[in-house]
Amino acid sequence: MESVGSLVLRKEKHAEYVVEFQKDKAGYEYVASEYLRLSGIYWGTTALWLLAEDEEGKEFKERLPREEVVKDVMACWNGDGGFGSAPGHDSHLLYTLSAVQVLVTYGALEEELSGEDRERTAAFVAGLQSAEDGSFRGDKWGEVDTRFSYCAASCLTLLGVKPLESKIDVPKAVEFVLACRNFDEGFGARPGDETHAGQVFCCVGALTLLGALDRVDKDRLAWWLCERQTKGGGLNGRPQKLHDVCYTWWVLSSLQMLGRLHWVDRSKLIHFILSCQDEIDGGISDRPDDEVDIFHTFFGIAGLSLLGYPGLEPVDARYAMPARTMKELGL
Amino acid sequence: MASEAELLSEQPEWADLAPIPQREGVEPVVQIMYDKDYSDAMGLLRALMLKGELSERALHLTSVVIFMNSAHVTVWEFRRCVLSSLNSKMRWLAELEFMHEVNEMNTKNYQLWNHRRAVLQVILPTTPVERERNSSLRADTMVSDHTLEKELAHLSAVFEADSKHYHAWAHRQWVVGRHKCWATEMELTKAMIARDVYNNSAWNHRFFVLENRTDRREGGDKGGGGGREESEFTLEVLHAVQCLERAPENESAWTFLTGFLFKSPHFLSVSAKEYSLVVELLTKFCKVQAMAGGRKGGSSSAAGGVKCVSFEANILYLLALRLSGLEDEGLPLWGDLAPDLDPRAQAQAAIAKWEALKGMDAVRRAAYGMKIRIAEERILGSKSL
Repeated sequence: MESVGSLVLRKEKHAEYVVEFQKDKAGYEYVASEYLRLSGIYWGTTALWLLAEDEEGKEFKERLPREEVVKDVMACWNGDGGFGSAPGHDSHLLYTLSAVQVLVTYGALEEELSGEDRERTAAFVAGLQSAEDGSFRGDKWGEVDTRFSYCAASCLTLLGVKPLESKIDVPKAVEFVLACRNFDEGFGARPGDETHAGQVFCCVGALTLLGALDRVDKDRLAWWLCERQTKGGGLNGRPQKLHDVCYTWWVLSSLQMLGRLHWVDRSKLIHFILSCQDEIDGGISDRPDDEVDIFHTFFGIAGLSLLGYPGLEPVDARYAMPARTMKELGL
Repeated sequence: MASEAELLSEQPEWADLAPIPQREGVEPVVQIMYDKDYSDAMGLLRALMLKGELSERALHLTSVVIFMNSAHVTVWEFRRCVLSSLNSKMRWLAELEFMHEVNEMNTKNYQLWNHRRAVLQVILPTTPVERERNSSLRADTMVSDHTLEKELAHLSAVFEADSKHYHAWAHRQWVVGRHKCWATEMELTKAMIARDVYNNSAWNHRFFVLENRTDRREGGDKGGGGGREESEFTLEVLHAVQCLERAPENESAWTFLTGFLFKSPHFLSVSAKEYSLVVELLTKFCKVQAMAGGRKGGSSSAAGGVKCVSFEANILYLLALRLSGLEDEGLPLWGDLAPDLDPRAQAQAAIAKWEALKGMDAVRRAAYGMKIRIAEERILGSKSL
């Protein structure tokens, strides 16, 4: 149901939703999401950063005390240098990236992890690359997926590894990503796997960070991406599937990295995202009138930031982190 | 709900093991039963893992934990270690039922599909190493072996419930690649596309099979059997066109065709003559669609008009690129086609279509504008104002 008249981003509501989610540690959503808890922290905190300032000019991020956030993150740090999804969980690349992203955003990386610690984390990440085909696993025994190629490239860069060649085989990493390119110029999780917007983001991101984006036919891939926009304005993740707010991020950030963000209809997309808000309790859902969750809340806000929605902190498409953070790091 | 007395660690069979709690003082205690049972089971599991105990009870414990949290990566790995150690054919085969039960809870679980692959490598081996391992399993069951047919049937059943299940399709590709059962897959994709022409996963799988099949006879691209002249290349295009006749706005089919036409190097050998005929066929088809759309009106045919025109513009432009030697230079096909097709005329025709599309498909107006500028620069060698 479309409402005539302007929809507006309910920043206060979303901030309250995020803070409530993080603080209510006995709440169902918090407990049930234990297996990806650390990513939840990343989505929630980064969302607050991107929401920038409230009506009184105070930054939303102040509503979650920095020390608590950092403590929650560090509680997931393991002896092997990686981070698990929650305390006591084994290290995994997904959560190692989330942890580093949060620490870097809060400027806490160096105070929490000594040079030696950071070395260990970098070694954990680098150790997940296959010498044979350059792919990355999520953990020692886990499956291979181009998501992990992205996580590795991003994580190592954020840890300050320079050049990346010093830790990983960059040409082989690039070749594996390119091996996942399909006939539609898009990318899947593994060679042959169907093109999927989430995987496209990971591959475009990985190639960007590995300095190999020129290997992609930008026009053809950007075309596949802009075809994700449905009549209703929202974006889907594969042809003929339903639109979903999270694809806003995967598709837009990919287009931004490809230099073709204007290939989508901006106002229609903004309208779609705003119509996925829960205007009463805050949070954003995958599509209008569905249940909200922290994942879609973050990606909706990040998407709006990328679209230049007023009053939001600019986001860096490559890292899904505040642009000013990346600037401060010289990245 | 479990009461205090029913905690696993308090039961007699676990009496010898001291559970290892998760790191102290880092997380507020969560006062709900779910977490208590889970923490308890995890404590026992940690103790077992530290001890290196790969026993029947360890296997049972991993089941317990997985049912409480099927995304816990380490538990799945430990389960595989236990299974390897037990070396029981019965136990490995029983994983099929176990995975079925876990799947009932959550079908989009990465770990589940990763586990399935590992299990299949044991019970449905294809390499010498795998076969060796399979034959050394303790033969402790009369239950018949898992077969390729059964595995493919299982996946088809998953497609019944969700025809676009990403993990299932990826898994199917893995199975098919290992067992090289190409013919079944051509049939399957044809059937699935017939049921739902919009199934992008099925189109993707078909392309995968076409590209990777190893069962073509030498020079065997030809012949649909029964004295037919058309090659595999043409037949494939005809199949796509038939699907488009039913649903002209089908993005998957158009994308498949584009990819198929311009795959380089191609997995089939195509002559310039055959290629021209196919391009001609497609051009005619698009013209018919445009006329039909004009008569029928309505949103479906309007969209079909959009996809059609977009496809035409696309192939005109892609052809122009190749004919100008800007891409795939040196491939004999383009050289052979060159005398009959003028790249500049092709590019201009493409541009005209994109101009029309700016109105027909307004949501992508900016993208079409960009495509026009790119074509002008690359092929016409001019910059628009």
